Amino acid sequence: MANINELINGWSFGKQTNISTAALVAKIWRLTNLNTKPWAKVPVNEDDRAEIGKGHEFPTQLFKSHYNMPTYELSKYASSEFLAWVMAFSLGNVTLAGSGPPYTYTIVPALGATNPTGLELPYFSFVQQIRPGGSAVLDEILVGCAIKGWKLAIKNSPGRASAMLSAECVASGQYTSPSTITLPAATPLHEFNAGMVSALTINGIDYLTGGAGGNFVSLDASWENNFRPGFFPGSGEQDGFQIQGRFEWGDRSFTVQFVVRVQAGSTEYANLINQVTGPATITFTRDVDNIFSMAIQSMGFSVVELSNTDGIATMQITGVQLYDPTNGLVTMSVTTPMAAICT
Amino acid sequence: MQIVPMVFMESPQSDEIREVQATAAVLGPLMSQGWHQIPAPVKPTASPKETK
Repeated sequence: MANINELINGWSFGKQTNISTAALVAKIWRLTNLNTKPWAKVPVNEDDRAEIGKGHEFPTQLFKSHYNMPTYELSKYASSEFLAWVMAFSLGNVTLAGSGPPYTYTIVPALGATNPTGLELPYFSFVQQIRPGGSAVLDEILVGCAIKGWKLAIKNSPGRASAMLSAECVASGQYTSPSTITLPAATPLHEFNAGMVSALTINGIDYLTGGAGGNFVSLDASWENNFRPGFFPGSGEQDGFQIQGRFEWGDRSFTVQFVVRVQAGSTEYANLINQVTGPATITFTRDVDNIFSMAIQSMGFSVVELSNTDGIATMQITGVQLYDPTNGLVTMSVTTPMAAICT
Repeated sequence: MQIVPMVFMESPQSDEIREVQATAAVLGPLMSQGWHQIPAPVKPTASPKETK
C-alpha cells in the first residue's frame, strides 16, 4: 500500500511531435497538483448480450473495446509558468520571444484554417509515479494528452488561493509502463495572488482605481475546446483496446463571469441596456519577470443580476466576449523565466 | 529603456515573412489573422576570401 502523498506528477512543457510520440524526457518538468487523485485508465470490455443465436439473453463472452480515459484536472495556484503552459496548450497559436529569461509568450486561439495541425492542439505527455523503481506502485507515462479546457478564478481572499488556475485534460489511452523516466526536482514556480492585480478594466469600468475602485469581488474565466471523439479507423490500440488518435476542437467557448459591489451610479446596468461593448484587460504583475495579461478584445454584458455576497449587495455579471475582426477574441501575454514552453 | 525583442512571423498563406516587435499589441492582430512564428531566417554567410 502507499499513501497518496507519495504520488508525484510530471508532464511535458514541450509539445509532442505528434499524438503518439512521447515528449523528450528533457522537456518534462515535475510540478505539484492540488488534485490528489492519479489519472485513472479505464479499459472497457463489451459482451455479446445483444446477439441472438445463443439460445438465451445472457452474455457469454467478453470483447476488448476501448480505453475510456476520464478527464483529469491539473489544479494549481496561478503562476507565470503554469499560465504560460495552460494557455499555450489550450489555445494553440503561440509566439515565444526572448533569447534569455524572462521570456514572453503571446498566445491566441488558433484558427482551423491556418493552424499547421488543423483542428488539433499541441499534445503533451504526462508522468505519474508512486515509488518508481523496481517495486513501483505506479509508474507510467500517458502519451497524447491535450487540454480540453481551463478555468481561471480570481477572488477577494488572502494568499495564493485568490488566483487559481485549473486545466481539464484528456488522454488518448496510449501509455508506457514502467515509464523509465526519472523525474527532475520540482520546478519552482512564481505564483500570483489577487494583490498583484495591476490592471482590471472591463468594458470601460476600471475596478482598481476611480469610482469603481475596490468594487471587484471575484471573476471566473473559462475556456472549453469541446473536443470531438477521436476514434477512427487507424486511431490505434493499447493492450488490444482501441485508443483515440486525435483530439479535434469543436465549437470552442470562452466565458467570463464576475461579481462586483453595487454602488450609487453603477454603470454595469447601463452598459447592458445600452449594449455597450469594450475591451477587458486583467493583468497580474509579480515583478518584471512574471507578468500575465489577458486582453479580451471586446466584451458586452448579457446578464447583470443583483445579488448578495457575504452580506454585501453585489451584481453578478455575465460577459459576452465578441470576436473582433482585426484583433480576434482574446490575447494572452505571459512573461516568465521558463523557456521552451510548447516548443 | 527596455529593448523589445523581435520575432519573425509568417503569413497564413506562407507568402510573406515579417520581423515585428514581440508585443501583444503588434502580435495579437497578426496571430488572430493566422500568422504564426517561424525561426529566424539563416543569414547568408560571407563567402571566404580567395586564397592565392
